[in-house]
Amino acid sequence: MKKTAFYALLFCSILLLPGCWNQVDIEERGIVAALGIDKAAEEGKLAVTVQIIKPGEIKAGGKGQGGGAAGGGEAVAVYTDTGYDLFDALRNLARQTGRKLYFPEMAVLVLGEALAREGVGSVMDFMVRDAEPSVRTWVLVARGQAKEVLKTPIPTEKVWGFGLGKMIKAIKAHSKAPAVNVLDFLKNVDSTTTCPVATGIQIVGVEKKPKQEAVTPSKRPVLGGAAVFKEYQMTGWLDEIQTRGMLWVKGEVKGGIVVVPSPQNENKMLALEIIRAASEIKPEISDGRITVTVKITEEGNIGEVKPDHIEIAKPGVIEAIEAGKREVIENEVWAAVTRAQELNADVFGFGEAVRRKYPREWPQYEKMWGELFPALDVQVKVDAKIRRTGMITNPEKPGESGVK
Amino acid sequence: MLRNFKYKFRTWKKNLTPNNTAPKAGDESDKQVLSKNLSVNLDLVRKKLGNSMDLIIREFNLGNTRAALVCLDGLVDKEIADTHILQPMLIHARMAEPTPVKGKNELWKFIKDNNLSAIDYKEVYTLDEVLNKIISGFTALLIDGLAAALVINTVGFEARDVKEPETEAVVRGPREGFTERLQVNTALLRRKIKSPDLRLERMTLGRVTKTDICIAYVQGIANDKIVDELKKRLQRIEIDAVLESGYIEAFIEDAPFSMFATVGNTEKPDIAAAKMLEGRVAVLVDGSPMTLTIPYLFIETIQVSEDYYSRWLSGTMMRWFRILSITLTTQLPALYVATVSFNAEVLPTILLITIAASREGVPLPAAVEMLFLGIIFEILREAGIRQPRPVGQAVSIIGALVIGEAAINAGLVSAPAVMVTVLTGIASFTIPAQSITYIFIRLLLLALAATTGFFGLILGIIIVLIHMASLRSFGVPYLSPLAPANFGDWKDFLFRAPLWTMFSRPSVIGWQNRKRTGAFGMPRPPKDEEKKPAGEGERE
Repeated sequence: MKKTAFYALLFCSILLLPGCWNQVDIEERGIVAALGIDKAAEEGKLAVTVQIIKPGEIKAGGKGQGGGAAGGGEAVAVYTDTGYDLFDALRNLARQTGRKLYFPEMAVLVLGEALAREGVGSVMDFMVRDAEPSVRTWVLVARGQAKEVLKTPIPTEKVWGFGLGKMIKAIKAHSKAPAVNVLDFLKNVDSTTTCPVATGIQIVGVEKKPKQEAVTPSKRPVLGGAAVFKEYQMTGWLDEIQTRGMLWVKGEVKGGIVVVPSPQNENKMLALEIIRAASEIKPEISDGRITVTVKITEEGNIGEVKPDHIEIAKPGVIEAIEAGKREVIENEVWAAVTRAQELNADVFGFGEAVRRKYPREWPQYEKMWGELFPALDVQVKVDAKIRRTGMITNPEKPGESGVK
Repeated sequence: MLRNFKYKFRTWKKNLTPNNTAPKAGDESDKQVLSKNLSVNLDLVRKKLGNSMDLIIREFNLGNTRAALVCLDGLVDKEIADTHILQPMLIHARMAEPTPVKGKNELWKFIKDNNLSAIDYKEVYTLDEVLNKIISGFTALLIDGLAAALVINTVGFEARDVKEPETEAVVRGPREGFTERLQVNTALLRRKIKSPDLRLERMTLGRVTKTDICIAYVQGIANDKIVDELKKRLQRIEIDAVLESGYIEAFIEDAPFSMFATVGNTEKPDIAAAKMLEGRVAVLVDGSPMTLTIPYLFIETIQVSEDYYSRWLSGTMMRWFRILSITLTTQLPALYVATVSFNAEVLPTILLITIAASREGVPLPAAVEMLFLGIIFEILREAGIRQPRPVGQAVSIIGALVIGEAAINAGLVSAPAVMVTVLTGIASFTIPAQSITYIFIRLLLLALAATTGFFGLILGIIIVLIHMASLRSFGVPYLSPLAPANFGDWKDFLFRAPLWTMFSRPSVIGWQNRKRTGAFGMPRPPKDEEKKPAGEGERE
C-alpha cells in the first residue's frame, strides 16, 4: 500500500511539476508566413520584416462575418524592426506584435540583395540552430529590399508568404529559377568547391490605387534568375537563361518550354515542351588537366507551332527540330558555364564530381580549384529527343485535315 | 433440459462444502429432521416461512393416509402440479386400490414407482432441504407417518423469452441471447455444444439469496488448472446476495484495482460457446443473462463473433477499424491538446491555421475545453442510457442543440474540439463492453498531455502498456499473444485468418487440446477426372 501511494505521488508530480512549460495554444502564437531580412540604415544592424498570419481573417473570408477592419481586412500583417542580429530583431518585433513569433510554418526566407552581398552566415546559422524554423524553408534573394517583397500583396493568396512558396513550387513549369531551401543551401556551403545559389525575386511595376490592386496587380513579385553565393556571400546574379543552363547541368530541369527557330523558316518559332531531362557530369584527368564532360539527355513534345510554314509529318522535320533544340539547350548551358567561370563560382558541383571520381588526386586540385575553375575545359553533349507531337501532327490549315 | 439436472445434482452434492451453502453451527433448527407427524411438519413449514401469503398447502387423502403438497404460488407451474402430481394421487391411487398397500413404506414406494408422473424428483429428509426446494419452485409431497418428503420439480415461473440482446447486436449470426433463467441458459449452451463432454457444474452462492450458479466448460478442451482455480475462487466467496454475475466477478477477478477487466462477460450463447471451445470457462448465474467468461484477455476486446461468421477479409478489416477506434477513443483528445498547446509544428500549415482561426476568441485553454466537452459528452451518454424512454427526444435535442450549435455559435467552444469529442465518443461505441476502461485511460492521457504535451502522452501510453503487460487473468498474460509474443496465435489477432488455416486453439488457453481443424482444409475446385495422372504421358 505504501508503495502504491509512493507511485501515485510520483505520478501526480508529473502533472504538477512541469507547470505547463512551453504551453502556448495555437491561437496565441504569431504564425510567421514569411521572413525578410535587409540591411538596416543604421550601420551594423539588420532590418527584419515578418509576415504574420491573422487566422481570424482567413476564416472570415468566405462568410464575411468577422474581420475588424473595413472591407474585410488582409489575412496577414507585416511588421519591421531592427536589431543587431536576427534573433535580437525578432525579439524586438514582439514589442509590436504582442505575440511570440512562431516559425515552423514559415514558407520563405527572403534576403535583401545588399545584405546577401555582405554575407548571410548568421542568418543561416539561426535557421538551423533554432528549433523552430524548418530547414525546408525556401531561400530567396530579392533584387532590392526583402521588405518590399513581403509587403507586396499576391491577390490569389490570402497569405502572401504562402503565395511565394507556391511560386517556387511552380518553378517546374518553366525552370527559370532554382528551387533552393535552407538545407540545400547549407549542403553546398559545406562543400569546399560548390557554390550555393538562391532563387531570385524582384518587384515589377508600380503601385496602383488600392481598388484596382486586387484585380490587376501591376506591382507584384516575380520569380526569376538565381543569386550566386560564395560560401555565405553573394557574388552575382545569373539571368534566367543562365539559370536554366545551370539547372540543365545539375539535372534539375523538371519541365518548361524550349523555344526553337523553325527548321523551315528561321524567323518563325516553335515551342517545345520539356517532359524529362537528366544529366551526367563526367570529369576526366589526363596529363594533369581536368576535362569535364556534361551529358544532357532531354525528351520533349511539340507544344505549339505557327501554322503555314511547317509540315511536321514530313520525314526529317522532327530530326531537324531536334537538332535545333539541341543547339538551344547547348547555348543555355554555355551561357551558364561562361557566367559561372566569370564569377569563379562552381555552381554546378564540378569539383564534387572530380572528388568523387578521383578521390586520391583530388587533394592537390582542391586548393587550387579557384584558379582551375575559370579556365576549366568543359564539354557539353546534348541528346534532345522529340517523343510526341501533341494531339495533332501537322498544324491545322484550310483545306487540309491535320486532325486525325 | 431436465436431464441436465442430473448432472447438476450430482455435481452440486460434490461441491456442497461446509463454507458455502451449509448452515452455520448454531442454526440448529435448519438441520431439523422431518417429523413423522404431518401436521407438525406443516406447522414447521408455516412457521419457517413466516406464514407467507404465497404459501400453498394442499392437504388430501391417499386412501386412508393424510398427505399434503406444499409449494409457493407463482414459482410453480400449477399445470404440472395438478396433472402430474395431484391427479395421479387422487385418481390413480384409487384405481390401484384392489391391492391395498401395506404400511407407509410400501405406499411411499408405490407413489414413486407407479403413481408420480413427474420426471424430476428427489427424496429429502430435513426441513431445511424441503424449504430450499420449495423456495426454488419445487413442490414438496409430505405424507403422514413418514419422516421424509418428495420434492418434485415443478419450476414454472414467469420468465422473459429468449430474445436478441440489445447490447450485442449482430448483422450476421444467431440472434438468441441468454435469459434470466439458468435452466434456459444451460439448455441454450447444450444446444450449441452437443457433446457429452460439456460440463455444467452447479453451485449455490449467497447466504440469503441462495442463487444457483453454473460453471460450464468443455471437458478435454478447457484447461483443468483454470477450472480448478475458478472453483477454488468461487468456493472462497462469502456473500449474502448474488443478484447479478457482477457480484461474482468482483470476487474472482485477478486485478480488482486495475482499470482493465480480467473477467469477460457476454449475453450470447454462441459467443459463450465459442469461448468455451477455445478452452475458456463460463460462469452462468441464475437471474442474469450476463454470463462470465474466464480467462479474459485484451484481444477479446477486438474479437467479435461476427469476425468469424463473415469472410476473413471483412473480419480482418473490421478488426483493424476496431483497433483504430481504441486508439482514437483513448488518444485523440490527448493528441489534440498536445498538438494545439505544445507541438503545433506537427500540423500541416492549412490545418494549423484553420484550428487557430476557430480557436480565436474561445475563452478556455484547449486542455480545459477538451476536458469540459469530454465530461459533457459522458453525461449525455449516461443520460441516454438511464433516461426514461419518453424523455429520450428531449435529451438528444438539448444535447445536440446546446453542444453542437449554441456552444460553437456563442464562441464558448471551438468546432475542432467538438469534432474531436464526437469522434472520440463514437469510436468508443465500437467497443461497448469495456468503454469505461477507455474513458479512464482517455482522461489519464488527457491530463498528462495537458501538462507536458507529447512527452506526457507517450509517457502515459507507456504506463498503460506496462500495466497491461503486468496483468494476468487466471494465470494467462493479459496481453498475450502480443506480449509474451506468441506468433502462432497471431492468426487470430491483427488478422482473422481463414478458419481452415486456424489449425489449433490459442496456445495460451487451449494448450491441453490444440487440434481444431484438419491440416488441409483449404477449399478447392474438384480435380478434372478426365485428366490423366501427372507424369503418365511423359513416360511413353
